[in-house]
Amino acid sequence: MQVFKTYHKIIKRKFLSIAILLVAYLGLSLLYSHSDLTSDVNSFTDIEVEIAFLNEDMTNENNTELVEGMKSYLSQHAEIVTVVDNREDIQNALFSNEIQAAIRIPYGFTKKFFKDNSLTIEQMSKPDSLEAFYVQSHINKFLNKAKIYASYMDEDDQAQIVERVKDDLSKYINVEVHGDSNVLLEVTRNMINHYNFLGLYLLFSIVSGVGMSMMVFNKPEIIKRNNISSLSISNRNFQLFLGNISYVLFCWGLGMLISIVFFRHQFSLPKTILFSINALCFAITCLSIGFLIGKNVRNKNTFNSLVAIIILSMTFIGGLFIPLELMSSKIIKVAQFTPIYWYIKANDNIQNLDIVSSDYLIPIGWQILTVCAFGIGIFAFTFIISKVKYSRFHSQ
Amino acid sequence: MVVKVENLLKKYKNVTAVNNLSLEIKEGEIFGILGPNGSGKTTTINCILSLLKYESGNIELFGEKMKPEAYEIKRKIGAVMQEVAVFDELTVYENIDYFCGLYIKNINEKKDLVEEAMEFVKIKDYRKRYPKELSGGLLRRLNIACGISHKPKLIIFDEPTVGVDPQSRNYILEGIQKLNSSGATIIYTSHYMEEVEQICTRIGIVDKGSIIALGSKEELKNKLEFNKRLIIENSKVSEEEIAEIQKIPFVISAKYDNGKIFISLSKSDINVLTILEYLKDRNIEFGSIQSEVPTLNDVFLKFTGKKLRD
Repeated sequence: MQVFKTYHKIIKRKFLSIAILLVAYLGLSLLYSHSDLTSDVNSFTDIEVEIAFLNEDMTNENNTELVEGMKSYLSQHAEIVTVVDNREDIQNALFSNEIQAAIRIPYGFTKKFFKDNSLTIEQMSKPDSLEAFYVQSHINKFLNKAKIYASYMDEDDQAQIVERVKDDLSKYINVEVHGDSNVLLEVTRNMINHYNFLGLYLLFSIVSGVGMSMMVFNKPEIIKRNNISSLSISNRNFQLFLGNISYVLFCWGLGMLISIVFFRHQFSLPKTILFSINALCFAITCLSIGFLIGKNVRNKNTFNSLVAIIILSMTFIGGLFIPLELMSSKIIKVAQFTPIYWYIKANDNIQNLDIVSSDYLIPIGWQILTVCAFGIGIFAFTFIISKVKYSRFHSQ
Repeated sequence: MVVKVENLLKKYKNVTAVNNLSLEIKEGEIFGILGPNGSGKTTTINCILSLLKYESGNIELFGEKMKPEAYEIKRKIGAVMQEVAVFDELTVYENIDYFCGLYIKNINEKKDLVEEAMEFVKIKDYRKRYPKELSGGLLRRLNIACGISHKPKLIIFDEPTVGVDPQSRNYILEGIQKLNSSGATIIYTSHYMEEVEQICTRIGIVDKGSIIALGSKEELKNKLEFNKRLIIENSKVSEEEIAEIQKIPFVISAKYDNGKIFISLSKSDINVLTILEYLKDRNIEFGSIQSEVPTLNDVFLKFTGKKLRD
């Protein structure tokens, strides 16, 4: 196993240069893994908005029961701030962010509300203010319910209607989801980011490592000396193949180990198996790329430039740094010609996999097979080139 | 017979690199292939090693037909090519170990052979160095160690001294003679006639892909008409006097060029004095006298009409 041993000696010697960049890429991967790239929202927190509540609809200097009920409901979701009822002062308060909205209930509002005549509540806010929209939605919610009760509960007076509305709005429903054995643990976006960046790690470490080693073994003078020797070409190639495969398995295993350790709390066996298979297929495709470059490039600088161009262009187009959803259809069409696009797509689908069933697994399977097809295609292309070169070498 | 090449023909598109070349090399010989650059030496070697396909001809090594998959024959061959073929990523020891390991499976035997090879080329002190840390001469020695470590019966050296300093060159040549005396048959190609003359027991002079002369160096020189050349420094001599010198017995040719008289003699010892007496009688003044024996360059000149390094 002379060639196999030497392959690993060469990898070890080259590993320092690979390791430096590897650390950088792994750091980048972890950084991205822990920063949410998408707008997925997994939790909700009620915000409190400062508002001014100005009421002109009073009876005997008191708020009507409807207005008082609405004010009381709003106070659960907003802080009611007292401001001087003056247009200029309200605008100043809005400008200085003392309040985010000012609500003015016009005179006669309650009366007209129950008589079915519409009378608009005046609201002042900054243009396109999200907080104002939020307050408006609460007002609408309250008034819509009140309108329903007013329409269908003729015998109820204003106080009863307000009481019913308040009662309705105070109710919460607790929903409990019972787990099914086929329902899979949800993985976070962090985890999927990590698996996507695992692709970058595999691409870099395997293409560089395999490419550099193959370049060393493919130096014409080394080939010549090997061909003179009594070790058959098939034996030599088999040992090189074993060397490449063992290196790929090492890189893949290391990547998977890091992933499992980092996300042990979200460990889901079916999803981890699928992520692993996808990563392994992608690793083999990376091997084919490294093999192609290493077999055909002689110069070290050309090799380094080529590897950088291939990795960066593939990762940018393939949707690693920019989510596929944000890319134009034209770029996505181009991206489909890169294996990393299918790798990321399969990862996304594995992430969204809730139930283990053929309906969900078949598309993932096709995507993983597409990644493999790239590898097989590149290997076939490399062997054709090698065959042509070999016959030329022997006849020249 | 260790090597037998019959009517070897190798073409690169329309250019004939080796033209019906035939040669036989016996066991224990140091066979020199001498020829200028581009004469077909390396192509012949590559064909012998089955590194190149050839149009026609037959090559036998150790009595068997040589083919790319003749691994049993290859086991007995070592080659040190013109280009240094070592791994930059491996140390001196690891390089020799790798190439030795392509032939030798037994770990202990391999270890001993690697040590022997390092000792042979005197590179033991550099065993942990990388090729980039070695001088040109040491690198050549490493290249040789990688080619001979498995103790082959036939060793091919293809211009191993190109770009090597004189000290390392002598070292390499002495080493080749030692390998030969330990039982290896050697094929040595070069365009340096001095090297070939120094170490080879038989020489084939190659030009335009064909062997134009073959034999030991004495046999080759005997093919020349003269066996000594006199070079006499002289300020002036007339054409008539040169013509008269040519008439002296055993003088083959005489010419005057750039303040020197060049005289080729067929029987040297007798007529040096005759010539000097002739010059004295005619009161022709002369300075230093140089005497030269014929070289392989003269042989090459005789057969091709051009000098070896033209």
